Amino acid sequence: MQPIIKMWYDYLDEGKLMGLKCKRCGTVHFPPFPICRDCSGVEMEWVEVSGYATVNEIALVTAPDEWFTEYAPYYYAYADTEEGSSFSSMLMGLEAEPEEVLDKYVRRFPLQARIEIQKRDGYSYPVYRLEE
Amino acid sequence: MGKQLARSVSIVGVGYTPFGFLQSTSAIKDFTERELISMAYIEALQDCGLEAKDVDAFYIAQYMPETLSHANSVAGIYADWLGMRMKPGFQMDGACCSSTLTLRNAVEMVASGSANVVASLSVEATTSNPIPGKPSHIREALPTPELWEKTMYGSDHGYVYWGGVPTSFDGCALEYARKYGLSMEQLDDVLNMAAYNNRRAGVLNPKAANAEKTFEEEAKENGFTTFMDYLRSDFNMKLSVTSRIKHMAATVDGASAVIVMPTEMAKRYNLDKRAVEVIGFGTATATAANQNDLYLASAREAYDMAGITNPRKEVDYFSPHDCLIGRQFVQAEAYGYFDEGEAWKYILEGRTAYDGDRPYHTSGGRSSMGHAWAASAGAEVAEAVSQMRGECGKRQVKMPPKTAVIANEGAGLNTNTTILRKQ
Repeated sequence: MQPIIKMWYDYLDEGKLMGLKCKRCGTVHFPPFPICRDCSGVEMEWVEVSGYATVNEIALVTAPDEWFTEYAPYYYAYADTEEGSSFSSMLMGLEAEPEEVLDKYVRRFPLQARIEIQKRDGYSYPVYRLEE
Repeated sequence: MGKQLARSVSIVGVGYTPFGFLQSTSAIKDFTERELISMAYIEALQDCGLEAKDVDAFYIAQYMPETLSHANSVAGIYADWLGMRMKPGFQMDGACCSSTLTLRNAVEMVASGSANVVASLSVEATTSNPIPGKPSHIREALPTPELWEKTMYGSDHGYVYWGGVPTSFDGCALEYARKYGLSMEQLDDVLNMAAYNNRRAGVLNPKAANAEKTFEEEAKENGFTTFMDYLRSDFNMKLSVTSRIKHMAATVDGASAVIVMPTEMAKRYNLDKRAVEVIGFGTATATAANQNDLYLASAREAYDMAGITNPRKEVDYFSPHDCLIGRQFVQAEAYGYFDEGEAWKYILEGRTAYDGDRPYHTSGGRSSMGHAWAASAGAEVAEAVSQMRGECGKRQVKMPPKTAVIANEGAGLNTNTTILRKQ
């Protein structure tokens, strides 16, 4: 077993979006997990993911955990990566007043987004940015 | 039919404390978690005429004993408070569905034959913390933002959690509006009506924490002609794209208790007239899953076990887990209590209220009865059992329900379904 979380964050520090791919069935897990959600395989290899995702739901975060107060208010995206994983994170690039969000964005769901890496407090985090 | 229990198990006793604030609500003032859980348990024992010595084992649901109560391994602590020394006791955490997880496990223990009478108990104190180094009735207030912060970490993966507090609960409401073409104004009215329906029941429930006045009374006091004008106004402040202050779960302290035994044994004890059978349950867990997938997974397991194929016709009481009030429509449709696109209309017309033709929980829900994290799910089971017995007084639904579904979710990671039937 590898130190999966550490390696994931180390890759992010290097600017790489890496997931674990099941050697048996090919399913890619981003974020990484050691046992395949589809076939239960346990042989995994690191692969770079595309970073493309579709946003299915969004929420406005007005009072985040203390570590993210500087960003608030911000949007949060529930999304599926191109490789088929559920992954949720902050969503950048959505510009609308709250009362406009339904008509301006949500009615056009699913929207395309791309993961970018944001540095915060010395660490690197994957967040989404809407592709327009 | 899905998986079947080895023997039928019924709920015979239920109880829950007044939901409120340990620092100020008179019925529970100066209590600690210990008195809360004892109070609920005694009520459940008295409800079925049993004593602690008749109970073989117990489960404790407490979501965050270490974080909120500075205590771990709480089954051992509570055993003495419950008169259950030296008996098997187990603590479980599935966040806010913990107390139906413990019910599931209590039922399974009885069905397995390893025990006959088992208590599923739960407690949570969310509004104040004991102060380390002092007796535990000496407490400091826990502001709601801090509570949510403590609640939310652990949403995995080594990722620091970006989701934030309940103001982030727009997702399901906006998605529902997109799917069925509701305007922002219509969505706002539906959410306001959901809170209104909850409040109408809450003011009739003496154990509700957040229901001293009707919305009509509040509207009048603030110079509005109608409750809806009041709920659309800044008195009902917006906290996110869709959520307003009166939609939110009111975080409170409370405890609940449910006692189960074999259905055959309930007959021998002459408890069968008021007994309610647990005919199905289902549980699903996952990180960062689509919430609807979690509902469907646990609902499917439970409906299969219960042999229910058409919940729209076969279920006549539905208890949504409305910590986010938008769950009232998305859950009810995922569970098939309503057809797709139907729930919002029923809510808007007041038909999901306690006196409506398609009732939801009658406790006041999480916006009016309050939300005591782990303890709420068990309290909603108790409320459903009371309704099925026809014992809910002024908030009794028109026809005592035959088949009730209690939906619960916890921290977005857990869902649990409980199906009850009254013969």
